[in-house]
Amino acid sequence: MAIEPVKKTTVIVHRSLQDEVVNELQKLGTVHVDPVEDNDYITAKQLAPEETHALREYVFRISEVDFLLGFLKENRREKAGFFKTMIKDKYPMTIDEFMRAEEHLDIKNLYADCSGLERRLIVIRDKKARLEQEKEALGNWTELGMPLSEVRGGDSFGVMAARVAISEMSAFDDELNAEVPETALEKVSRRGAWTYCLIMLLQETEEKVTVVLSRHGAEQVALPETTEEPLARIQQIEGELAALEPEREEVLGLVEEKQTAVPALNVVREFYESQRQKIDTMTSFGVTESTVAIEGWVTERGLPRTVERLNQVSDELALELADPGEDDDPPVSLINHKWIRPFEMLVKMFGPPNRLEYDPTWLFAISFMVFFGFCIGDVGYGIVLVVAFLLMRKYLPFGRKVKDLLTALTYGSAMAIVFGVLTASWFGIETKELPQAMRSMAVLDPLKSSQSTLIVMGVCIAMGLVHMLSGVGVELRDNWRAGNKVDALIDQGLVFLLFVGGGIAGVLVAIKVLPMPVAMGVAGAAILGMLVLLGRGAASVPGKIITGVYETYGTVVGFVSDAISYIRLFALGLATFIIGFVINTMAGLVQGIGPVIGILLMILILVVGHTFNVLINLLGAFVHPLRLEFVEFFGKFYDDGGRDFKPLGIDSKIVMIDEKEGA
Amino acid sequence: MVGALAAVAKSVTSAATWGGMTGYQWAILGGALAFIGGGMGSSIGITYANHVASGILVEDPDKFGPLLPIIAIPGTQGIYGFITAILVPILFSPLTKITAHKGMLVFFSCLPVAFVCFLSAIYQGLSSASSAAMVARRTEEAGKALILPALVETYAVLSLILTIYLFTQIR
Repeated sequence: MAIEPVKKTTVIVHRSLQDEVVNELQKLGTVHVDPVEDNDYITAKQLAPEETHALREYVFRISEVDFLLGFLKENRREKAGFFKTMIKDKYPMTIDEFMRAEEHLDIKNLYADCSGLERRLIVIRDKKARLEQEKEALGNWTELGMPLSEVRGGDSFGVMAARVAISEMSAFDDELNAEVPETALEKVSRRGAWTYCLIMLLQETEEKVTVVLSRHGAEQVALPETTEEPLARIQQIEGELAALEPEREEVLGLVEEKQTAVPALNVVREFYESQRQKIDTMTSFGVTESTVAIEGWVTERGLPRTVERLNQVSDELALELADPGEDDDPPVSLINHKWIRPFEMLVKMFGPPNRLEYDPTWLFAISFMVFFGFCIGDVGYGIVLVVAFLLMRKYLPFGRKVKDLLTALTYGSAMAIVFGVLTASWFGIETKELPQAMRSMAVLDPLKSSQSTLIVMGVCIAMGLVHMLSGVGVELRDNWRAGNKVDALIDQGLVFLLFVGGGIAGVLVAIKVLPMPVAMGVAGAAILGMLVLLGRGAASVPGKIITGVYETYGTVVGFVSDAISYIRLFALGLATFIIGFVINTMAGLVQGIGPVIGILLMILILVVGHTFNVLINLLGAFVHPLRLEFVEFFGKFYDDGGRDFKPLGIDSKIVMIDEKEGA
Repeated sequence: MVGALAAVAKSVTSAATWGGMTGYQWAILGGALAFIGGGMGSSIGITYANHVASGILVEDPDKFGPLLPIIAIPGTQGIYGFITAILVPILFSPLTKITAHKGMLVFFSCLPVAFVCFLSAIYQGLSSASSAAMVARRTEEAGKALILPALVETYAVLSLILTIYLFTQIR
């Protein structure tokens, strides 16, 4: 439950051993590499020509693989289903299998084959589009009954094909007769909102006719070029289109045969990407005339393995280890108990803690579980979610981060069962309908009376105060350990005196152990202390007074308003129960419709309704506790800004390296 | 003057109807308004988020997973409205027996949810749209993108809490 100690590591090797060492470090995945700074002896490494060439080569190969994956995905016969798009395939393998991924694939040939197939598909697609366009154009002239090539003018007259909106046709006809009487209009067909027509005109009147056409929103159209009658040509086109289909199917069949390469391509892409990253990392190294220096950080856990494996690479390798210095900024690696570890990714979502900060993951884990459980707060839903998350974790191909999230949510769902028992919430069934055994276990029923509603709200505020005070406690500890004992006693100690001391005194007053003035005295002393001491940083006396008042107001009001924010847990828990209750009521109403149909409808409403309820409330139960953690809790103490410990390794979302075998 | 006001207050408290409506009708109107406000706001808010998300999904359908919760977030205000509407008959049962005065109080108690949820869902939708754009560029930040719109929802939650608190005072 802490930030793991790290050692500064410097590896110095002869240039000839560089690749071997880097490969080993990548396989190990234990060293976070930092750039080496220039000094009198070492200069920052520039990539050698062969390394630059290799880098370009990997970038080129990645683009080749991207083309192949894109082409195969686009032309797949069976499109990926909903879950397939949500969950990417994972490829578990050993590090050695991963390093040999390229061996199982002849990418050059595959690329040549797929490029050829793509060209064939493009030709087919273009031809199909052209034929369909021609068919559509011909469809407007089928009533003409003569070859379109014969529809043409002579020396002194012309034929213009046009389409006029049906609603404008009559007005257009009248105006054409009035303005250009020496024309003849032949209406050929009606398609949709248009009338297709031919206008026979004298060459010198063409401009006038065009003007009339434009006045009525009509437009000239080009007649398809064919020596056939439109209907005959359409039949021909249909034949040609039908002939294209087997060819397209043949090509798609060949593409389908290549689909078996997709898993290997996915792995190879990750391999190329890892090699590209490896060369990129080399620019962080330092060099002398004959050696390469690699600087970085290794955790205490990873240290023995790193030393052992690097020593196996060569005897001519110098490995220096040192504790972080004053000016160093080591990366942050969290080390927590197995059951708390899944919550680390949620803490890191906000940002890894500063390296001098206390790792609050265990506090975060406990409070998140409790809040999540409170928001769902139902025994039935809790059981369903625990089972669902465990099954998903076991059988679906998720990466480590998602598995961690599922584990964290499983713990939260277990807490939902506890809160469900305590609040008598079992699938939203009304409390009075529950068996006596279930009712007897309940200690809080928020809808029983006004008082019980207020008690549940009070419980939420109390949980919030405990949560926030634990954050203040962490800050007190950090200040104390940093030697700022006065700050710790004033800034955090007075908050404890006000809320913990005042709270305890208040309870003692309530049970008549202490008189009221004592409780008032404790709270008053804390507030007076704040007024006098919180402005101590200001230079002048008026400044101290104003800052003291401002800080006291901010601390007290901030705490109270933050505590009220925790009542959202009650609102969200109530939402789960109420929706469940409404679903049960609806199901009860349809039950009486008929003996069989009624039961079936009832089951349908119950299953669909409760599934909807769980899903919609799952979102709120995740987001709002997270907000309470990030805003109300972290706001009291947390300084992020730590650099995440990211060792050089295989950073892939789809290739799952078996660490035991790879180690 | 004071005596006249007290008489008016007494007449309102004991009247069978107020403004031509019975207590039952006022209470139902309050519950319905709460849901209308929350539901309408959520619909508009989700639509805003959808506009951006659909554009992103056209380019990259694989982002459906991280985008879905961000689009769904403005939907909660509709649920708060729904809860309020359901709580009215549950907490004030039998609703048909409620006095005009009490019905009016229920009606006014429903207004925080009706108005705050309506507006906060719309603004949360706009906030979700920005978060969706954030996910489009940096999918790995989907977690943070989900938290930002949730900050807007605070006031919708508070309105529900206030409404429920006011209900407890009427009972």
